[in-house]
Amino acid sequence: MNLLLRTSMIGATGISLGACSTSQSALSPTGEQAERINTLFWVMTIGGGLILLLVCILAAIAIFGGSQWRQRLAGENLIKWLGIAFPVVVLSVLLTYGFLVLRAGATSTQDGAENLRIAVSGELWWWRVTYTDADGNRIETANEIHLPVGQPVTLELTTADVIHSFWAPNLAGKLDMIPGRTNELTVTAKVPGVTRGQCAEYCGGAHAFMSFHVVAQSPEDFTTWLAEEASPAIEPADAVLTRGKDLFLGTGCGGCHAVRGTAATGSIGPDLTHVGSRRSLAAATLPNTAEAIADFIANNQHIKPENKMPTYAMFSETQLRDLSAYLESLR
Amino acid sequence: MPKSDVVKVRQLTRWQRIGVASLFVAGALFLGGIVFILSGIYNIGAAREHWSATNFIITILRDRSISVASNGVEVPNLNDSDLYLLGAQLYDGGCNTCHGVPGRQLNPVYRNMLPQPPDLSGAFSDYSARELFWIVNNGLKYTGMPAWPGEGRSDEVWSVVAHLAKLHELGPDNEPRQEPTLPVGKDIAGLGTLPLENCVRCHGDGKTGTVSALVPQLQNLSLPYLVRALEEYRAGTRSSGIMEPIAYEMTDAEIERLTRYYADLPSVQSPAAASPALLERGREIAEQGIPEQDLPRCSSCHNGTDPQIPRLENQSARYLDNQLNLWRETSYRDTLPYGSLMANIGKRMTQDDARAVSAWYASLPPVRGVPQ
Repeated sequence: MNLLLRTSMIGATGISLGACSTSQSALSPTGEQAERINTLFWVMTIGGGLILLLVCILAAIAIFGGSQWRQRLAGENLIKWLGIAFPVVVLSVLLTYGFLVLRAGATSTQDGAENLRIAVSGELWWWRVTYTDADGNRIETANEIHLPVGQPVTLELTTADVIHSFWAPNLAGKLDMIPGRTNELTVTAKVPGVTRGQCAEYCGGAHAFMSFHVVAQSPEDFTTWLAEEASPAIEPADAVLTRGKDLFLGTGCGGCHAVRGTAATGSIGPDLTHVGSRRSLAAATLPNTAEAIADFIANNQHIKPENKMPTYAMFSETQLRDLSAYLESLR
Repeated sequence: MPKSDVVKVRQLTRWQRIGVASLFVAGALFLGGIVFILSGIYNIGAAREHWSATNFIITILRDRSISVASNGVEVPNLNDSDLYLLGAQLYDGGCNTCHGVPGRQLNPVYRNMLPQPPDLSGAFSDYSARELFWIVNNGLKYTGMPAWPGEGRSDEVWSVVAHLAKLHELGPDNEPRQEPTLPVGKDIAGLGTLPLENCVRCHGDGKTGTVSALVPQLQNLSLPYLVRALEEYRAGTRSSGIMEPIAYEMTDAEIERLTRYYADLPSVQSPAAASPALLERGREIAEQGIPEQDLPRCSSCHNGTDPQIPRLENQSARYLDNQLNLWRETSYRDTLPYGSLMANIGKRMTQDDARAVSAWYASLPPVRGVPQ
């Protein structure tokens, strides 16, 4: 009974994994680096499978084979060839092949031009993403990384507090973010689309809620997006939004969050200048809707326990609605 | 005669005999105790003094307990007028109900308590500062002495201890006792004198300042904030051994009138000077925060937009500093909706940050015309 239950559960897990979406999967690469890892993975898996099969056959012969077969297995030649020569050759070839496939030591640049550089800082529990435009202006956003398709981009990975690990499995392998260090990871998106990434090093209670989206877009779209992102926040268009903005500026939000173009210049929490245009809220934890924004303002310690934002329980229903409507309007 | 028929009486050893006898004695005492308790012959009345033997045992038990428990308490400088002047008011507002005015005979009601509340002008002859702190903070079982009502407010307890030290130093007859004066503009409609006197004793009025720099000046604080503070004291969600008992007695109407009384008074506190370096550091924290410590700027909330968030200008540096140090404690006022906000932020400050930013706000003139 127990065994049956367990087997059926394993079966069910297998099915659910099979049905897993491909938006956060190393097995459906959309970037050059992940493609190489994917190739290496399949070569290793198939090669390893073949060797396992060979070992099983030899073991079967040793157990069930006739005395003549067993005599041959016991010979010294088999040890020399299969036991020594084979592993030496296979492992040496595999090592060389691994270096070649993953281009170890090669710098990934295009036509000798300088790569686009994006600074990504892991914080408890979100991602601070900073772009530098052609004029050297720094444009900050959060929890979403936009990439121009076909261009190698260098991510400068740092951390503001503990060790995090940056992992966008569709794009590349994971790389740790270590206090006091800047680790560089070069990624080249090949297919436009939205994929998902995740912190891959346990970093505290809300570690599981520390995700992000990767948006790969055509270089033209990327340039347009970056220009929009660099622009200051839009002014509130009606009375509700104006009240929301006044609340934002008057009741402490601006002490930690920046909304460029207003008096809110805080740098402790995520930049909210264009928060309404992002695909998610609270590091890919909630959908980006006005209701979810209101929920996070009033209940963030339930949604993401021990995050640095205090609970704002003082707002009335109307105030929460105004404030969240304003934030959602920041597109 | 067969060997098995011999009856053997085993001789008990000496220690075994003592053991059996002890068991009998203990059993008799136990039974006697039960009979004593159930018979009701013990006189529990306060009119009947303890036996001298009981007194002797209780005294040793009490003093040993106080001495051991107060070990390791660190004593601040008690010769500090902010402490002892505030302590004198606390004494008058609370302690003197039972302990009476030093040097005078007790009210007959309390004279008949057992034990009788002692005259505290002699407190320092019997106990050290740390022992008195422990007694005032924890109270004493079976005596009627209550523990300090404001949990986590040992800062208030020290002011009482400082007052006791002053009392001991000057003697009960030399202690300057001011005759209560009628508060400025007390003739506001329907307001009794007692609750107002309770406020004015420490917080001052339009003529006199606060009794101590540890006390906030209530002028310049918005009406809704003052009302909320009193309601929180009354509900016990804001901790203070001074304010909780006072607010407990207040009705909604009194709260409304008293807060309005203060909102209309002019400020009597002038901006305080401090070293330029300290003020500059304080200004930075107030206006820019300390991003490396995740500390947002104070002015992002304390700017007068939300009348429920107090303005900090024109409060004394010492009061602000003391409050900020309380906010740095683990669970001080960690209650929704407003307390939890500051409880979260306060822990990100160091003691030096608190000192600097307090000096800065104390150096600023009052901001009038706050939204009501």
